[in-house]
Amino acid sequence: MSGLSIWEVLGQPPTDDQRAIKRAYAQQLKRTHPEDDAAGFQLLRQAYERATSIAAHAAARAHAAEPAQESHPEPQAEVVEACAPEKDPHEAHWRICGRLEQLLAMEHVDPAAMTAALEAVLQTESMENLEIFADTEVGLARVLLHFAPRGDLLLPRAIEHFGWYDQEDRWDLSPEIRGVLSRERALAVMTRLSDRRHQHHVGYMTLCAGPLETMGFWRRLRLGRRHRPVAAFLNFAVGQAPGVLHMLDQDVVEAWDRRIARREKTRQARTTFWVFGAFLAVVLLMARW
Amino acid sequence: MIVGIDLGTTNSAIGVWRDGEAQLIPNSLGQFLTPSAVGIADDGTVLVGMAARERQSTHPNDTATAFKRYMGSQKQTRLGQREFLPEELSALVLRALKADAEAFLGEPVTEAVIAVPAYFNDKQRKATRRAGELAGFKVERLINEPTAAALAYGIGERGDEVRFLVFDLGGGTFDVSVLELFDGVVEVRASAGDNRLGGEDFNDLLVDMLRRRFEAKWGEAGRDDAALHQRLRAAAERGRRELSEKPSATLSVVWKGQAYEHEVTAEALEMAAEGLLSRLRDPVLRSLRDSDLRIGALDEIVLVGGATRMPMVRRAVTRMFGRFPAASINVDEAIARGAAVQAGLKARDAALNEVVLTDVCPYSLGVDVGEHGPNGQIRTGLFSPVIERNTTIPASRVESFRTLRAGQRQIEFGVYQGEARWVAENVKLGDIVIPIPARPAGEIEVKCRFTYDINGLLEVDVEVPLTGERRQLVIVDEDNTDEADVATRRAELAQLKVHPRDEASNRAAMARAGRCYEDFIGERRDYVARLIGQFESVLDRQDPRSAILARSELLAALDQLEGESFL
Ligand SMILES: Nc1ncnc2c1ncn2[C@@H]1O[C@H](COP(=O)(O)OP(=O)(O)OP(=O)(O)O)[C@@H](O)[C@H]1O
Ligand SMILES: [Mg+2]
Repeated sequence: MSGLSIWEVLGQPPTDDQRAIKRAYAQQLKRTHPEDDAAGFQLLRQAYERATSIAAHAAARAHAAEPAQESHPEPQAEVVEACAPEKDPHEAHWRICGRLEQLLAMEHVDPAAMTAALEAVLQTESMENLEIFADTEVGLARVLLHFAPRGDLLLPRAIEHFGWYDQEDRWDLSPEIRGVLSRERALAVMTRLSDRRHQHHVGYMTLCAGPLETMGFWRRLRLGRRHRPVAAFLNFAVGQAPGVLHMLDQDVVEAWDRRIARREKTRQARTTFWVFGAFLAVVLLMARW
Repeated sequence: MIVGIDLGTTNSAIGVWRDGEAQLIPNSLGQFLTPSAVGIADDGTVLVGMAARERQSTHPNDTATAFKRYMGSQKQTRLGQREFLPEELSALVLRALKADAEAFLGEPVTEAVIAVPAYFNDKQRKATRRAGELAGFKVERLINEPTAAALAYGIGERGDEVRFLVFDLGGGTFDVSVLELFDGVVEVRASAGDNRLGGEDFNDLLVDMLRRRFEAKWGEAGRDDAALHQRLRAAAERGRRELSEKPSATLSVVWKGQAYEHEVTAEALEMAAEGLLSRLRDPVLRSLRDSDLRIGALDEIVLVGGATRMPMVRRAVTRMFGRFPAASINVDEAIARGAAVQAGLKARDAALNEVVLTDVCPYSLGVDVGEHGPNGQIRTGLFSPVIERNTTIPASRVESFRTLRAGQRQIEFGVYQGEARWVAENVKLGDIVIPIPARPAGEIEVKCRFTYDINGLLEVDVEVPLTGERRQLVIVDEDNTDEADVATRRAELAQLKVHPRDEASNRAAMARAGRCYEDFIGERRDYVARLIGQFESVLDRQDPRSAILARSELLAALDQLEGESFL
């Protein structure tokens, strides 16, 4: 690095004024032309980007420091009056989104109403608008995750509509959408696991049954011996369906993990005992001879 | 003098920066647009442009079009006695443009700026550069097409802080760029696109419609008939242009002496095109996201590329942005003009003294890495970007990586370009290996520096700080085509006889008449035959003046018959 501050590189005293930063950058750019001086340009560019982001943060801070308008309806009304009283053309869209969110937040799950509400969101005219589309896309992913499992039945439709599976292999896919995809995948695996014929069905169902301690005596006796299928299932899940593990009761999974480890230890001890015994027997026999 | 070239999928154009402005150069037919079509005439000479395009449906095996779609691949096209790579076919087009420029400027032209789709990857760019070299150009710069369009558009624009989005839908590629102009700086903030989306894809929809409609009649034979396929493509192109003006159009083809007609409405085409139209959204969203701008901050949406003439595309744009796009520039000449501006910038023309252009690399560049999977095993083949897409270039970035395995003796980096999470789906640019001392996992650090220069040349440096060991990789060409190879191929192409320039107009007129003969039946076919006979007899007289007259009469008659010819 040259040891110059970004402001020295820009030839501009420190400022939060974006316009002044741009002007300074443009002026320097003509001196350090990207065609002639790659290193000089990169330094300048770095300084410019830093200065711009500092100014943007300052602006955001200043904005935040202003009295929060949204929490005081009265002053806001005044502000709206002061500016042209322009109506948000997409207000209806956000209202429809709000309805879906309300349904998801309700204790009682009404699949038909939820499906209809999602469909209404996807079909509004505003969805043709790019910005609305983008905001709704991420917002929907976030809401569906937030209210899981209540929104689970909506996942396939949302994934299909936004083509999330097609984007899945991108490194910059938003975390919300990645979350939805991994949840959907886990749900699909769980559906398969609920089928009796699945090789890990028994192990999976045992974990779903809840903590052993709360079970009746006979049931506990029956389920408590399923070390082997549970271990096989856990092995499978860790490797191939980590999402499923997150959706199970973590306490139950941990309890079983400990049980399996304990049993593994006793088994090992037993094996050691037998091997050692056999060895001793052989030695004794040899000594006899 | 440096020329600027738009090497398009459908049409190409060439221009220069002269007398303080960008000027387009007409071809031998007097037109600014030259169809990107190459053919071999019956006498073995090479035809480029309109003559070749018009011969496509009558000589499907001797004509090549839309080869830009395969740029950078090894796909061979047989024409006459020889097989051609896409870059060689492009070189023939470039050579024709070069000849036009030399005739126009009256001096040899050897340096060029060539426009490429912003979303072309490294392979496609290198192939384009080679095409220029094969045509005898020194390629001074490849400029991104939407950037060129923006230059053409923005140079006149002296506003303070103007932000706009260029939406370029051409014959075969779709590009979006977001730009900002301020104080003489033309700054590209982000580019995104789709290398395989354009007017051609809309034509394919119409071709499919026709095929479905007449499947029963054409049967097996119709499926593999190259001539029929080209005729369908031509009918689709004509019909689609009509649908830009009218609510419905009749597509007609003649095959084996019989005419087939099918009426299509603009509405039906729009319904069929829903999938294509929805593919316009993603690149636009991405370019906005990457440039950190809201739609409201854009001062203008600029449409470029012939396919944006389609009303359904305009409507889709209007809906996406919630406002009408600007249509103030000539959609199919803007890129060549912009390339000419870049040529002027490159030559440091005084009139452009105050303008500086900065562009971005539209793809992420990075290396493959491994990580510990959920099971503790090591997964390899993950992509880790070093220079993220839409970074302003020239740029240089460093990332550190650590060993994954204990006792590892070397680290091998694969260098990739793309956005996929797994490198297997990205474009591989090269490999670099560096030895390291054996240590426990994670103890050795390796620094990886990527330097991407203004010509799109990537240099990768890796260094092990502990030992000071360094390795360097300059990604020149992963296809291993060296200078000598380019030189021999250039010589080979130069051997090909090109149809004389001064005969090009007659040739193109004849080719069109020949196509019309096959496109019609009955009385109208006889009429075309008569026109051809008359024209040939005038040509035989070898009198240039009467030939010119006869040609314009012939073309007028054909216009009457089938509507104006189009590029
Ligand atoms: N009036 C029109 N109506 C519909 N489509 C049109 C019209 N005019 C031109 N086109 C289409 O525009 C396309 C050609 O546009 P353009 O010349 O911009 O592309 P190009 O530069 O050759 O291709 P690219 O930039 O993708 O490499 C063709 O597909 C053509 O059908
Ligand atoms: Mg183009």
